[in-house]
Amino acid sequence: MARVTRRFHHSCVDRRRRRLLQALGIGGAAVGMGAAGWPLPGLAGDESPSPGGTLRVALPQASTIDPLRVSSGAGIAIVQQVGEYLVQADESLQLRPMLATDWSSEEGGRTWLFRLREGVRFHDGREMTAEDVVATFRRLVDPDLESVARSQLDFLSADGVHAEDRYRVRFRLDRPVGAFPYYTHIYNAVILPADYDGGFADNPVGTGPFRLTRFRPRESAVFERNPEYWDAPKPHLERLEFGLYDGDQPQVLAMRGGEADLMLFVGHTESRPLLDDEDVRILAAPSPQHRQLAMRSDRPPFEDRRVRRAVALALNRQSMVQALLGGNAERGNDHPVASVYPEADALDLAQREQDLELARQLLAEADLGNGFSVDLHIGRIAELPQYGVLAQQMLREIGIDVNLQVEPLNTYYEHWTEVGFGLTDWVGRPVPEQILSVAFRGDAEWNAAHWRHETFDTLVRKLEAEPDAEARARLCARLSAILNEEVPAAISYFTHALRPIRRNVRGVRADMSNYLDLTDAWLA
Amino acid sequence: MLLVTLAVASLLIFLITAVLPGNVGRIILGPFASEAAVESLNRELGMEQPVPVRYLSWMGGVLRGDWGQSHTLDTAVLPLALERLGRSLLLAAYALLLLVPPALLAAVIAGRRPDSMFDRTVSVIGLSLGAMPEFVTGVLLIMVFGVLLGWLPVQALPPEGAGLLESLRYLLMPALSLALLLFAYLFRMARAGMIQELGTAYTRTAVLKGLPRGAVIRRHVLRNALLPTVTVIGAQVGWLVGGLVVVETLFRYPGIGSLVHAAAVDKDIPLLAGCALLITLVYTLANLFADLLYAALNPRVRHAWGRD
Repeated sequence: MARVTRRFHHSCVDRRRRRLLQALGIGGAAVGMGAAGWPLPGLAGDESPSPGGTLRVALPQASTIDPLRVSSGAGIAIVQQVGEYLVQADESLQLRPMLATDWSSEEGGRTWLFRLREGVRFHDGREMTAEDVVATFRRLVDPDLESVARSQLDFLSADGVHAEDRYRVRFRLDRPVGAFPYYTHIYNAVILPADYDGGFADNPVGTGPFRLTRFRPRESAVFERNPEYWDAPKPHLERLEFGLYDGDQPQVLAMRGGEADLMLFVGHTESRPLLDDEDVRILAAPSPQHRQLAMRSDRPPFEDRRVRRAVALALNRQSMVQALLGGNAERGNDHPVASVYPEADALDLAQREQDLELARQLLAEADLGNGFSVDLHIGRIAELPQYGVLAQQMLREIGIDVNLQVEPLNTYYEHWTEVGFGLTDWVGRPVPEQILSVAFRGDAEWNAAHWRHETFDTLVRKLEAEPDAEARARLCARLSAILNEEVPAAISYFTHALRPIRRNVRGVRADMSNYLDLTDAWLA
Repeated sequence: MLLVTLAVASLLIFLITAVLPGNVGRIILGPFASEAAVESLNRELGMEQPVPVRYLSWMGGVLRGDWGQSHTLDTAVLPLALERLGRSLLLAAYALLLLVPPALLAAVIAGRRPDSMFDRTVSVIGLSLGAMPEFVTGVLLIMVFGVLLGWLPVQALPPEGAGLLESLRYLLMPALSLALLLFAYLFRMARAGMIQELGTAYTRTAVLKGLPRGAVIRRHVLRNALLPTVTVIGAQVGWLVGGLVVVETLFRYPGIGSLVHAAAVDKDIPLLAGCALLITLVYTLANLFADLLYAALNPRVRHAWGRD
C-alpha cells in the first residue's frame, strides 16, 4: 500500500480519505461508506459535470458479448453500457433501484414482486415492459440455451416468472431466497427486448446510457450517448471508445502515452509503472474477490482435516499480501465472508496467523510427521503462479514438498474440480451465500475440495432463504466458523479492485466486481 | 503444387486443432457455467463428432467460400481473418521497406572493405539490436518516442478514416522494431555474399578488363551475392505476416498473428483453422515469389527450367 498511498497524497481529498480508510480498517470503512456517502471524485460540490467529450477506455480482450454467454471482464463492461439491471448494488452493497423502482417479498422470500420504472425506452424506441423482463429471465434459465447464469439461478424455472400487469413482474421461486434482488444483478441479467434473438453484436438493443454503434471483435467498441436515457440529463459523456488489448502491458503503455483515460482494472504488479505518472490516479475498492487453495478432502493426504489446517497454519498471510499485492488486499481467514459484506459484522473469529510449530504438530498427529509430496495445480492468471511459489516455500517449512503445476488457464479449468490440490481465483459476488453455496455445499458442482458437511449445508440453505439482516449475519458467523475449523480451502486474502484513471476523469469509481458504470462520468 | 501444399496443410492444421487441450464449451462459457450448458453447447457446435467428419464438413465449407462462424467472437471467420491479414501484410511490407534497402546498402559498403571501421560499427550495432527481442526494442521505442518525446502514437492502430501517410506514421514504431530485429541477419547474409563474390575469379576478370567498380558490383557481383539473401527474405515473410504476436500485442495492432494466437488459446477451431490456412497461403506465395526472383537473378536456374 505504501507506494499507492504516496500516489494518493497528490490531492488532499485523497489523503483525507486514505487516512480515514486506514483508521477504520479498510474493509470496515467500505461498509460504513454507504451511510457516510463518499462523494464521487469530482462531485464534491466545487465542480458540476460538464456535458460532452469522449472517454477512451482500455480493457483486456473480450470474447463473446452475447449477454447470455458473456463471461470476460471486458465483454461484461461492453454489455453494461448498453443494458441495465433491475437493481444495482452500490459500493457498500446496498441495492439501488434501476429498471425496477421497488420490490417486495411474500411467503418468506419464496415469491418476489418487482415494480418496473415506467416510460423507459429501449434503444429502438419501444417501451420496456414486464413482458421484456419476463422473457429476459426465462432465457437466463432456459435449459435449451447455453446460459452462463443458469447455474447461479438454480432456484428459478422458466414458468416461475410472470407479468402481473404492464409494469409488475412476479418471481415464484422453487425455494425461498432471502437475497433474491441481488441475483437480478448478476452480470448476465441485463434486461433485453422480449424478441432478442442472440445477435447482440449485430443488433445491440438495451435501455442503457450508451448505444453500441460499432463493435469490432478483439479490437474495439464505440458507443454514442443515448439521448433518450431515462435518467436525464445523464449520461454526461457524448461518446465512449473502448479499446481491447492483449494483456496489461499495452494497456499500461496506452495510459502512460495518454491514449487511454481509464483502464477497466489492473493487477498490482502491472500497475507499478503508473504509480509515478503524475497524470494517473489509481482508485481502489475492497472486494470479496479471493483465491481458494482447495484441498481434496475425500482422499489422502488432505482427507484428514488436521492436515488441511496445518497447510493453513503454514501460510504467512501478511507477507503474501505484501509480496504478491503490495498491500492491496486484506488478510483472509479461510472463509469467503469478506469484510465488505454487511453480514461480516457479526464475525468474531480470531485471525489465523502463521504457526509452524502447531502445523508440524498437527501433521505428526495425522501420522504425516515425515512430511509428504503433493502436486499443486495453478492456472496462469494474475499473481497466482507467484502465490504458488510462496506457498511452496512456506509449506516446505513443515515438511510438505509441493510440485508446482502451473498450467494455461483453460487447461486448469478443464480439471480444477478434480485435482487434489489446486489454486483457483474466485470473483466477488454481491452476497456471501453465492460463494458459500457454489464452492462448499456438499452437492455443489464447484466444490473443488469435495468436502461434505451436513450442518454446513443446512445452514447455507437457511442463509439463502433468510431475508433478515441480523439473522443473516449470525448464520454467516456460524458458517465461517465451520470453514475456518475444517479448511476445505485456505483463503489467504481478499484483493482490492484497482482501476487507473486519468486525473481529469470524474464520476467513476473502482468496483469490487470490476463493473463499469459510466452514467455519472465526465471529463474536467 | 500450391494446391497440394494447401490441402496437406489444411489437414495438418485440423489434426493439430483436434489435439489442443481444453474443452471448447467450457472455454466459451467460462468456469462458472453449469456442466449441462457446456455439454449442450458442445453438441450444438458439433464437437462430439469424429475429427474426419468435422474436417470434411469444414473443408467443404472452405471450398464453397463459407469459412464458418467463430465460436467465441460473434462474427464470421472469413471477413475478420481477411481484414486482419490485410493489416499484417501492410505491416510486413512496411517493415521490409524499412529493412531491405538499408541492410543491403550497408552490406555492399561493408562487404567492399571488410573489417573497416564502417563494417565493424554496423556489425556490432546490428548484432546488438538483433540480440534484443522485439518486446525490448518495442518498449524502448514506445518509452522514448511515444511517452518521453511524444512524437509518435503509442498504439499502431490508426483512427478510422486515416489516410495512408497517417497510417504509416502510426505503424512506424512496430515496423521499425521488426526491421531492427532482422537487420543483423540480413546484413550479415548479404555482406558474406558480397565478400565471397568479390573474391571470385570472374570479379577479378571484370575489374581487370577495366570496368568501373560500380558497374562490376551492380552488374556482376550483386546479382550473385544476393541469391541467398532473397531466399532468406522469402522465408521471413511467413513469420512477418503470421507470427507477430508480440509486436501486434505491444503496439495494439490487431493483425492476424494475435488473432491466431487468441484462437488457439480459446480453442476457436473454425477461426484457428481459417487463419492458419490464410497464413499458409501467404507463406507459400512468398516462397514461390522468392523462387521466381531467384530464377530471375540466377541464369543457371532459369536455363535449367527452360530445359525441362
